[in-house]
Amino acid sequence: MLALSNTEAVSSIVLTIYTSGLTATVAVGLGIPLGYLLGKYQFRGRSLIDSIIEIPLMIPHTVAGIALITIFGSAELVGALFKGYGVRLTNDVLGIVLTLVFVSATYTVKQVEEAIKSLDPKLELVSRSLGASSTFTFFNVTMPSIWRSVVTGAILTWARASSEVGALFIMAYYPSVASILIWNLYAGYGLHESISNGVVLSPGAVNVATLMIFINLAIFVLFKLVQRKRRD
Amino acid sequence: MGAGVAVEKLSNSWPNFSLRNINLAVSEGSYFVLLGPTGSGKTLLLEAIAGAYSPAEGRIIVGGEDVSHLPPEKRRISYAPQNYLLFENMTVRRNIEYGLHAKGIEEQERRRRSKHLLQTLGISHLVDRFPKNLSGGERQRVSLARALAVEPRAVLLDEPLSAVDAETKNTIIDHLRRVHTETGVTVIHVTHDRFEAAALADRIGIISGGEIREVGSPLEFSQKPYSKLDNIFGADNLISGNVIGRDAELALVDVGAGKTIEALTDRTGRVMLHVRPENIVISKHGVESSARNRFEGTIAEVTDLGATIRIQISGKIPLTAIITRRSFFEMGLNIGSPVNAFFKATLVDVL
Repeated sequence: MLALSNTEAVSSIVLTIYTSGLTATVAVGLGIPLGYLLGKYQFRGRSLIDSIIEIPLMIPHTVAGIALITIFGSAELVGALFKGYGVRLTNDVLGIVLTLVFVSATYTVKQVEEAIKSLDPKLELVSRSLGASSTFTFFNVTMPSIWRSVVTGAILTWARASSEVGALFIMAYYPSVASILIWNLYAGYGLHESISNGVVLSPGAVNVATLMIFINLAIFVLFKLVQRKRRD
Repeated sequence: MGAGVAVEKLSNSWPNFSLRNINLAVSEGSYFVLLGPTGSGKTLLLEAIAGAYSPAEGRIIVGGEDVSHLPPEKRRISYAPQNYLLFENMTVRRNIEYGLHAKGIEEQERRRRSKHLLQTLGISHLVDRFPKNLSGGERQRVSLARALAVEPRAVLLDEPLSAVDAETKNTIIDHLRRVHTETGVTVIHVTHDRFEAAALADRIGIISGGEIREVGSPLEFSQKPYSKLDNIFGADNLISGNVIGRDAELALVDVGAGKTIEALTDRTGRVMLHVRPENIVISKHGVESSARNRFEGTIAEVTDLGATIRIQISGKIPLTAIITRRSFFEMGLNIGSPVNAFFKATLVDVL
């Protein structure tokens, strides 16, 4: 397959898998404590935090990209601060992950939150009454009860991240992840591969897209398997 | 092993409910039953003692130590909830040893303690099973073993018999009696079932509307037909006594006030008797009857139930009977009428 032999296409797919994986990891790291907090406790400002977490699901992703670049752009408040330390938050792997976390971590947080809400609140009380600390209880009782939801959240986050285009156009156009490369190939060369004098100008938007479909299908099957296990 | 538990002036409010000025003293090693109808606040009180929340007012004292603001893991009070909440990802053995594992107790000692409890509660054959493969009664026994394994100062049992069938209920009551006697642990047991309370308690606390209404021994409650217990649960004939003699299958039970009751049972020692009000036969004059038990008294209260009439008889042993309206008027009964109450030994439930 031509797409596989094209360095640019392969590196964009690898970059997609890598950044989406990194995003899912960060989402799990953020989602477990945040989802636990929102699922277990009632406190002032809880609804506000819940709403902020859901915002990325409600707004167009180009708008999300604009919002992010007004904060993390190299001339903006946070971006300028990081730039001072030689860290770029736009057009870099860090920028990609930052963007993807913003638009897709919600799925993990919500999954964890719902799983915690569905747990009997007395489960942890039983554990602690037997002398287990809250940390011991979390790792030995709570996590084993919610881990499938965590995995489901991570898979959904990964899938959402790997398909993001809008916000990345604005925040991290380079290096190109697969979704951006597919758009570029389609806009520049049309659907199919383009070869001129033996030089591959385009591996074909449709070829790269097909590869991405197979990768995402594999993730989809994994998601369904985890869901089935959870129902059991 | 057990420690006394005292609740002093405990109050706490939720949007739709309050626990108000709760005072309780549960002596070391005793079996205390907190009896109340659904929504009375008994589980909330149990959760306060377990450490689910710190009460807004008042104190909880365990073994002389104020634990009101200690986290649950520092209280050494095991909590066994109504729905057992076994750890589904662990085998029965792991469930029982969980608290010991959390405290860093070595495997050899963990095995020793779990083995003893598995044997005592008759669940050794379940040791490698997961909770999802256990029946309600088996889950209950595992929950009890898990609570006892850490050798707590007190065990809190929330409606432990509410989800098991009648046969299993009797088995679990026997197990509860046995482990309580063996371990000497202080038990606070919450229930809405007065018979369960009568069968197990050293003392009973009546809770209703978030307040403790009355505290006393089962014997005291059985001799007080107009107590708050009756107002809350409806009058009935619960009589506490001791088996003092036997004639083949018939046991002679001393119920105090110089009176005895004959009942069919092979039990010995302290027993709780129950006679259904409709099984009591009333006559105005002493008559010949094959019924083994006869009590004299005076009608203290009459309640018209339509086709039947409920009468409360005061005497050495207060009783409640339900008779037909026709019998009531044929005998010309009224408040103050002297009556004889009969019931057969075979109709006495021994709890």
